[in-house]
Amino acid sequence: MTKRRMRLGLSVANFGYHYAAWRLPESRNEADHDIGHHLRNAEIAERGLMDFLFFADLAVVRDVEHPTIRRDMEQSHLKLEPSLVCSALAACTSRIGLVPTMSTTFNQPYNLARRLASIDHISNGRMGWNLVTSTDKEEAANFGLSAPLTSEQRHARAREFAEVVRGLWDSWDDDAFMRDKVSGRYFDRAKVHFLNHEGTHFNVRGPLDTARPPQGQLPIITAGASANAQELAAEVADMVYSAFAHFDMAQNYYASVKGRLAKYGRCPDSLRIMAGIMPIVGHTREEAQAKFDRLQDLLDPRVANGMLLINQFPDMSAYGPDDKVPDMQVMDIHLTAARDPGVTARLMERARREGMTMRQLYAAVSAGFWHLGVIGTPTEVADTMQTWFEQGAADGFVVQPPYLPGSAEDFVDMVIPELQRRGLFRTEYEGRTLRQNLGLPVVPSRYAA
Amino acid sequence: MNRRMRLGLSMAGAGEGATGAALFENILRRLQLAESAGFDFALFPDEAAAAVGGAFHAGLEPLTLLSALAAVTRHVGLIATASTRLQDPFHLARKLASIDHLSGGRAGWNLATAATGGETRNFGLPVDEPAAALDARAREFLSIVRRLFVSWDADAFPRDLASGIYMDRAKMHRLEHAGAHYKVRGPLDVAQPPQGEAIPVMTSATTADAQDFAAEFADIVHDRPATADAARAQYRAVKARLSRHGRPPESLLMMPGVTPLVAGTQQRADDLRGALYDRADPDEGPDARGAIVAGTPAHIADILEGWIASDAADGFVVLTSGLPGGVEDFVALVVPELQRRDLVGSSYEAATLRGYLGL
Repeated sequence: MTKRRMRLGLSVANFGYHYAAWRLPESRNEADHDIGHHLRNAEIAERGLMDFLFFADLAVVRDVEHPTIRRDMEQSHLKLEPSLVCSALAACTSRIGLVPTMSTTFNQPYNLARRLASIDHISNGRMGWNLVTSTDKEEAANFGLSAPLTSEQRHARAREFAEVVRGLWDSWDDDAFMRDKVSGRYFDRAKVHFLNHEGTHFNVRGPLDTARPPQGQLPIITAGASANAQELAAEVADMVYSAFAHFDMAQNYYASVKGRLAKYGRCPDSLRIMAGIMPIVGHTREEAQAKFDRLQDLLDPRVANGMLLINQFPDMSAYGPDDKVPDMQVMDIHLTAARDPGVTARLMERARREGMTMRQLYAAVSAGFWHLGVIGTPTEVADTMQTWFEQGAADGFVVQPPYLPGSAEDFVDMVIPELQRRGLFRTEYEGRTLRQNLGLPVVPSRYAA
Repeated sequence: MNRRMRLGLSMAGAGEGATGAALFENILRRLQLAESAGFDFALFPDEAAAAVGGAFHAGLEPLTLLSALAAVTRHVGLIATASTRLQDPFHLARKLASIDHLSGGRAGWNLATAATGGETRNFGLPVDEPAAALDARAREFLSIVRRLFVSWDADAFPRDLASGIYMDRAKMHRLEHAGAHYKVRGPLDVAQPPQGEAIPVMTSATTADAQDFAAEFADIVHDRPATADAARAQYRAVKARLSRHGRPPESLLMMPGVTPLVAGTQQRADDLRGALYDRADPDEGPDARGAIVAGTPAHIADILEGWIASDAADGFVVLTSGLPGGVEDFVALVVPELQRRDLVGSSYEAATLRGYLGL
């Protein structure tokens, strides 16, 4: 039996995950609308033999007039539409997988199925789909909804949506197109399948106007800590993007999601849990810390206060960076759904106990917070990853680089060789498609005899 | 100087006979042919349904395809078909704006207002919606999309390292649209595209209502009249309506589809015409091929020049026949003849699709 290997994705959010990334002098000024920037990141990930590039997405510019959340000082709210970025990258890369975010709430399944199938053809089988159900109120307002759907509504729609999309991908058998010039038969009618789906949310006849994608079924990644989200993952996903800063919480989540698979007739290995990680890597711990400090020095306190507010901290904008963190209650409004408010409360409690300054609180939140943050040497980063990987907290990681392309290069050049030395990560791509590289089995068409 | 003839190339059927990356490469080859010949744009038709009763071949979704093609071409304009009945205005605005950024200002939109029978069944829509309702929806949709394109002024992003100001909120324009069909808050999450509000819009205009719509909103009208007389009648009807909207005649280009059959002799060209009639698909509508222009390169150039001179067209969308003497020969033999006559340029002389079209 071959050794279990880690899977690695690179999440590319314009300039990177740190709020001050765009202010680094070396950052490209127009990274948010420059395909060249995305291509550089793709080439770095491909050089590192990573599995895929991941594109988060919200079709909205949020809180833009909010008095405390200074979106006008932040990056990453403006962007190119991610599936189109993936399509452009598909034409310019050869090995890296490409995973855009697409919402089941704001799309129609027929159109989404053909878009993803199209890029899977263009990329020769390197596409995945980050399936989201969209919880953001302001995003909903761009699509005619005055409020987001409830969790039940979103997940019921998503389940049916995924079922329709997967059915449409099987519209044509792999050998349906005979293109026989002699007989004049272009395709074999016996190998075309009408979906004839009539459901609660969608009526879709089919067949798809795109041939079966090279991968047959594209890998689906989902996220979310709620019971509904975990259930959806267990039912339809090939990967789950998990978000935990602490090992024990990640381990609980891992067990909880995997424990739901049996009821869908799936084995634990069929779903890969990918933990978000923000690594800041240096040859020495001091060098790594200096990289982080450089970013923190560029973090305007006004931006930091907004960052705290978004993460459910109280409004502490009256306090300066050198003031002690005040004794205030965590907000009970959940600006971001499906996150555990206890995380924020615990950090506030720790801040008071340790007498942290506001500046120290900014750093604690910037360094990871919802995800695993590691500042250290390649050995230290690899140690943490190995622990999570070997002790039931993750099957792989989605790297959230604090700034791009610099920290992606650091990860690829320093951490990946260390993971390879330990036999935890591939030294060459196993296959040509994203499915193959992820080690997911071939899915025969539902109509196959 | 002669009046400039605009040229587009239809991408219908491009890529046929392949799947996976080979499908994409076949399409790219056709597009490179258009680019090498200096075509103003390539037109990507679309139906979000598989016509399994006919000679259907599986293709790729046009907007997705455009993005990939934009990454590997430099000049040629890229016009995708998208129906206002099937799309969502916010989604479509961000896709078109994204493609316009990705291509450096080469995106265009062939606006369809209806859904075909197959499309209604794939999207769970009612069939046979009245034209007036589709028209009203299209007007609202287009107005939303155009205003979303300019959600941000061109100089809304100082990205000033010293002050830490990334975007200038005073240069943002929220839409706050609430109409009969759509509620859209805005702003768009994409910076103003290179062509701004004016990403070229193409429509069909065969009915009086569609001609009114085109005269008010479109930059290009593309249909497939079978004869020069029919083209002239449509040309007059659309152009006459422009003044009602304060538009000069040259602000809208009439670009009918033509199917060229190029041959060394007229006899050979007439044989090809016969072959084309013989293999006509019974499901094919009467206007599928537009005017068939068969002859030697000089003869075809005469015909096209005659259409331009007699106000039957401002340019043409070249359609493919699947026969010898089609697009490849048109590019190799007819385009140089048109260049000699100074009817088309020999290189791209502007930076954007709007620029190529002289809009």
